[in-house]
Amino acid sequence: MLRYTARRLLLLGLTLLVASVLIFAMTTVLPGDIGRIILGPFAQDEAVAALNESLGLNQPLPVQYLQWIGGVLQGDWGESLSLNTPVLPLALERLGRSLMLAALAITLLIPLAIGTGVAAGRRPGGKFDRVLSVVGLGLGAMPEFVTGVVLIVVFGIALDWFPVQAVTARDAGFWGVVHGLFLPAMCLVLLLFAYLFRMTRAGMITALEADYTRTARLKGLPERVVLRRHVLRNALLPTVTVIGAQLGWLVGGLVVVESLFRYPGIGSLLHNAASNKDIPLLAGCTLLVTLVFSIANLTADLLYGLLNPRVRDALGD
Amino acid sequence: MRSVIEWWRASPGLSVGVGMVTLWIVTALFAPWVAPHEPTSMGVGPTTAPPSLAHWFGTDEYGRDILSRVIHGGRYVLAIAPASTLLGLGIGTLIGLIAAYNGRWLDEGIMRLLDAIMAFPIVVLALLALTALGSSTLNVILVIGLVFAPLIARTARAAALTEVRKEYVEAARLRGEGYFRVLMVEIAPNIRGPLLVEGTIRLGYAVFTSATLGFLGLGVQPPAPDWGLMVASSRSLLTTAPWAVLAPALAIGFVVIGFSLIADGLRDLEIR
Repeated sequence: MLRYTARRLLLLGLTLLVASVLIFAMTTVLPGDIGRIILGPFAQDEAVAALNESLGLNQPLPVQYLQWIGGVLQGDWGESLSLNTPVLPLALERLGRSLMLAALAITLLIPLAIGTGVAAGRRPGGKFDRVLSVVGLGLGAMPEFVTGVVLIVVFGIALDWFPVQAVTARDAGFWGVVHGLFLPAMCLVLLLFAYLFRMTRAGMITALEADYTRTARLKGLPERVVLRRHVLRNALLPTVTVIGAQLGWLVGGLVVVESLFRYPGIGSLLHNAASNKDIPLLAGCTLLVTLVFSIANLTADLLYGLLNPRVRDALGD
Repeated sequence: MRSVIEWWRASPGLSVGVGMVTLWIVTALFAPWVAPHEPTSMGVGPTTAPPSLAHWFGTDEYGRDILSRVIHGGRYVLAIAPASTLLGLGIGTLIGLIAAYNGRWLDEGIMRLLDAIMAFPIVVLALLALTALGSSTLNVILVIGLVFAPLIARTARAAALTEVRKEYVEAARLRGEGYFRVLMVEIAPNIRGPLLVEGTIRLGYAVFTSATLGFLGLGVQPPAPDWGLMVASSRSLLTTAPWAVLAPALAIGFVVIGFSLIADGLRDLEIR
């Protein structure tokens, strides 16, 4: 397990290194004249040159990169151009709100997808399985804002059960927050449901056909014990890794869903930074999102290794 | 006629999917003749009028005919999705084949680098790249193609790993065929099955991604009738004129379901 963890940590380091270079390249090198972007097309050339000088943009690129990443490591993430506030505290505050939304979505998603997946996998080809497979298929490839618009029109406007904008009041209380965030969370659930459902279903089918399940049944164990001890433990393993892999979709989903529901999370902040060409804010948000996402991915992988000794041993050596 | 019926029997889902996608392609291609009005001309009807016989999908806040805008809007996705998928297939297949054919450290290096790139959420990567490059249809195609390439490279590599050890590859090399000729002319045709399935799945996701980028305002700019852009710009009409938002959203849903049905049907045939 130690070697497996070390290997994964090394991969995390590599990922973050590549990510930081990529972010630096796209935010500093590609857009061209940053001073011109900040000051606008009508500013005098001297002013643009002076600003570029003071931002350190005349130095060689590797030096600029090291200065930037050095600042990031010391907590200096620069200042937002459009909002005139330091990037890090703003991004962290918004990240908290997004994590709240994501947590609600995952809490709704996992029991729903695993429950239906197990039920469908027990009788593959049955009515329940066929209906859910077709529904899941369509939903999985549907952009979040399409399902979001339909959800808003049906449950927000026609039935008026939930608010159309996901704004949470400070004194809303737990159920108030859940009520306010229910529609955007459902959007994310529907986005991720299909894949998780399919993996659980496939895992169930494989585990039910496996030799160890037949042995357990032939030993005369009650069906309940066979299902819990032998089938489910093996069937749910692939599902755990899939949850990790789906986090990328969740992050992308947050950008869209938060913009549609006007929710002030990191996703809508990222979107605003991109539309306002607010380069420091964009770089900061992307970096933070990548960091959180990579750590979550690592956790899912380690959890998988912990649950499945076969993987741990195979990858450790 | 008889073959159509046989086809339907073999896979009803595939047939329905092909029908839906064909309807979209035909209306998009012949949009100027099919659509009742110009997509950008204002005041062809009253403002924010609900669906009626004169305007099937209603009108928006400028009195533009939404049906005409939806029909014309299909053209953007029709241009972006296949072009970006083909670009991704080309680059991805080449990378995957290079990794599988050379093996050892190059394979290891390429795959780890791709892992690192794929660690980025796709939408965030595209958002970053389009902000840097500026938004235009061509850039959207480039970015989606490049973002898809690592995923396709994985499939191509996995499929090619068993091929590169076969004797015909060795024979081609001994005949003196060039490096890229061995990869693209000898090996690539033999992994076309998995690549075709991967390609149709990616095509569906290309529709997904291009619609999302349009919604985020990173694709074509207003007043172009792009579906995603229409949803975003009519967002504030949701409570007063929901049809203005629903029509383009459901159009995306229609195409996405069509592609899902085709991809699923093809996968079934591949398994058989």
